[in-house]
Amino acid sequence: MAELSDATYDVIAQRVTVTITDVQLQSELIDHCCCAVEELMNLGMPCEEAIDRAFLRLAPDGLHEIEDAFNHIQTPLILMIMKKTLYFSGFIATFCILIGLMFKIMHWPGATAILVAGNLSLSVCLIAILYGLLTNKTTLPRITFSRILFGIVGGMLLASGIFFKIMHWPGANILLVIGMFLITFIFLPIFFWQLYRSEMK
Amino acid sequence: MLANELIKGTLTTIILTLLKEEGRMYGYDITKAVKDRTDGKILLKEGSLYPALHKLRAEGLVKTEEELIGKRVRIYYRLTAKGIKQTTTQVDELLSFLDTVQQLILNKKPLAHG
Repeated sequence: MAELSDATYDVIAQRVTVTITDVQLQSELIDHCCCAVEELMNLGMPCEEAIDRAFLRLAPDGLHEIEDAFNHIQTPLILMIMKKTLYFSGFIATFCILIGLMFKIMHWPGATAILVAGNLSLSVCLIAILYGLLTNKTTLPRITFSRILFGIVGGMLLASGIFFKIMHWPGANILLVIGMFLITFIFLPIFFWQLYRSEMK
Repeated sequence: MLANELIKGTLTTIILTLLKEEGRMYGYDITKAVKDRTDGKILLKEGSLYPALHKLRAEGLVKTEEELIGKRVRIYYRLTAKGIKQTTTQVDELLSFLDTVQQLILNKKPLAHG
């Protein structure tokens, strides 16, 4: 049974790590190639030829195809975590904002803390939506991507503006104006134009 | 070599069954076992095998053990209790499906009555 030298291992390891980013996948593919090279060398193949043959067998179109397939499998898991974050923070945000508003109107103590918690949860929620949007930007038409992006940013500014206004904090007006501008002049025209076009088709 | 599309749908069942029989296996071991058992008719693509193994681990059906072989880190896969149950279910489902397909293709029974 041929045993690989350290130099051969280093050549294989370098070829794998240059393309594959996941550490566990790197280890597995290095071991896989080493096993394949050992097997070919046992059949009498010279080391360098065995390495080339092993890589060709492993990934005929390059190692990136394994990385791509790996990422494709991993994506739903990330999306699942993102969705859970979205629903959880969305629930906390609406719950805290509604309860906080009631406390504020009734002049009960603790209104500020509840509203701040609600606003923080809302930020987490919007960041999760923004992350989802940015990771899918290549699959969305540019105009749809712009609409959602301006909608999220406008919504964030508008929500923060309203919150600042309620809390009597400075900067509320500028947040409200910019947020309202993005929603009214960019998001809504694109939204209604797209709706009109889809209805006309 | 059998069509990749046919293998794709049965890949996880193949992996789970092998792990149930062998106890623990690493990636290269699995490809070799499949090749040997099918006389080279089924050749697993590494581009499908490793993502499938990672997916099974994420679902809690298999767990990993690392072993150092010289400078190499070898990652062994082993079924979890949940994985053992799932293997039985998937094998039963696959066998029943194959039976149905065989019935459909060979006996040519009518698909609908009336």
